[in-house]
Amino acid sequence: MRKKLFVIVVTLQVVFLVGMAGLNYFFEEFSQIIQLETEPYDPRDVFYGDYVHLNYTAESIRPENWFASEDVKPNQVIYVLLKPDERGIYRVKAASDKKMDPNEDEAVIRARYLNQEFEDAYRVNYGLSRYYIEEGTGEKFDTTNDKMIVTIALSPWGQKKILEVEEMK
Amino acid sequence: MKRIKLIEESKQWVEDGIISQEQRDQIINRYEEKDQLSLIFFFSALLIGLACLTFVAANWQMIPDTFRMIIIISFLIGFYGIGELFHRREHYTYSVFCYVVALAIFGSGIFLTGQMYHYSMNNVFAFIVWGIAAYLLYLSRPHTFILFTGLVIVSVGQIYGLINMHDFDWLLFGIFMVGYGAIVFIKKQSSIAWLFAIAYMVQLIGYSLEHIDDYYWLMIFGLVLYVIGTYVKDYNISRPFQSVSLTFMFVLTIIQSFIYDFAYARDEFSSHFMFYIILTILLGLAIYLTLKNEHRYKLYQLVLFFPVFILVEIASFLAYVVLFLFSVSKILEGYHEIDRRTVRLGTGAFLVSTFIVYLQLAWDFLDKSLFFLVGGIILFLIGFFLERHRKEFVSQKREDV
Repeated sequence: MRKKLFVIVVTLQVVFLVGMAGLNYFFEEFSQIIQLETEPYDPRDVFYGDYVHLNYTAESIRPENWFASEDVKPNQVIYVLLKPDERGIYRVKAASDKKMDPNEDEAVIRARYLNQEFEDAYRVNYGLSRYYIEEGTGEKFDTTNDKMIVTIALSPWGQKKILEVEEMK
Repeated sequence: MKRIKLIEESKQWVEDGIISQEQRDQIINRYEEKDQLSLIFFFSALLIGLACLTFVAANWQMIPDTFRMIIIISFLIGFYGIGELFHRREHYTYSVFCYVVALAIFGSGIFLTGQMYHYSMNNVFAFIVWGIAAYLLYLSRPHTFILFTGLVIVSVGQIYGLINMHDFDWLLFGIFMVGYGAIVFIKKQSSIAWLFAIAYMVQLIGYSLEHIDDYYWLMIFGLVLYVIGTYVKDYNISRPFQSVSLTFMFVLTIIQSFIYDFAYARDEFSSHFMFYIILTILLGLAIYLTLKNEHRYKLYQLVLFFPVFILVEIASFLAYVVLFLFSVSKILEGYHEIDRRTVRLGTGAFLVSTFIVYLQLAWDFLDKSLFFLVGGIILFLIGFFLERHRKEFVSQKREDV
């Protein structure tokens, strides 16, 4: 009995890791692909060793788009409804602590509430702020004060993934 | 007594004619030589595990993703395989070592794969999977060290979530309580109960630090541990549960005695009425169970669960009173049970309490060098007084025997 369980445990671990890697190849197929814009960055701040820190414009939400209840607490789940502009970059249409139904061209992304800024904008976190890069490949992020366009895949089961990070042209 | 000391001393016993040589051999055989190797393997497992994690932190260059996956999975299967081989040959120390390394590879594998394919890892999901894997591995190969590893994974995961995401993960905590908690009650092994109780308190301290304004709920968490420890009659569980809970409350009371010395802390403090209701119910339960177990003298130690902030203006003073009452109750319990260890513990607690009160009250009024001099004298006198009593007690005990 124990021997069987041992074999099952080891197999499950291998399947899990292979599954994680394998899922990567199917992820895009099942996912909705959106593009988000980041705030201008300073290359001295953007590198943290082996990853790039991404600060999305859509993580700051204007009060007119904020429909969450008054007593929303830090770290609470917030659903952000995004709509593409004429260039295909997704902008915040609404944010709420309740689920929302997007239209065909819109997308809903899960975020966590951070705080309210002094200009009354509400800050949320999408959990996509780190993009891991291999050391020595950071030259392409080497210009000052440029915005980046980040392509993100949103899977139907809630998992999200950064597909590509490039400088805005 | 340690084996080496026993071998030395018993030689004299044989020479004095207290025991025969055969009896000496029999006694020595009862104290089996400890497996020193297991300690070495414990540390090497730890180091290799850490090396695997460091491996993750440093990106491996120039290796394609697919090849990296193959490396991780081959190492994983390899270590499990070697572990299994040792297990069959009944070299359990070696097998456990390999299992723990494999488990470390699995954990680092999750993070590495996530990083390679840019998955958003904004929760403790990896730790949940890792913790379950360790738990299932323990069920299939029930070695205590594997369980320890699992408990550490779950606790670290919780702290990681609190530090990085400011989020206490209830699913992870649920796995810890239900899965690992069940093992404590099934195995009834003291070492497991100790580690479980400590991991429980550490996680909930983390939770309370995240909600610092409501820190007082920690008392409830501590009391729950105490009540369970009182309800379970098995000494291997009740002692670790009660000791961890009381030690924690003792330290918390000391901290409170400092905090409420500040007017700011006193003005800011507010508590929820539900806290007092739950506290009363749990205290009632603790008193009932203690009386039912006929441990009446243990009732006094419950004083540590007194909410000193109930009269917030004199909270510091109440904390001192609680510390002293607890220390004296421990000393009395030791005398009552004729247990030297408890007397020593009570004495230690008494000295610490005196030192705290002295530190708080005298620091502002005395010249600093005088402060230490007077402190030293007070501690010496208390120590002298307690030691005299202890000696009387010990000789009394010897006479009784």
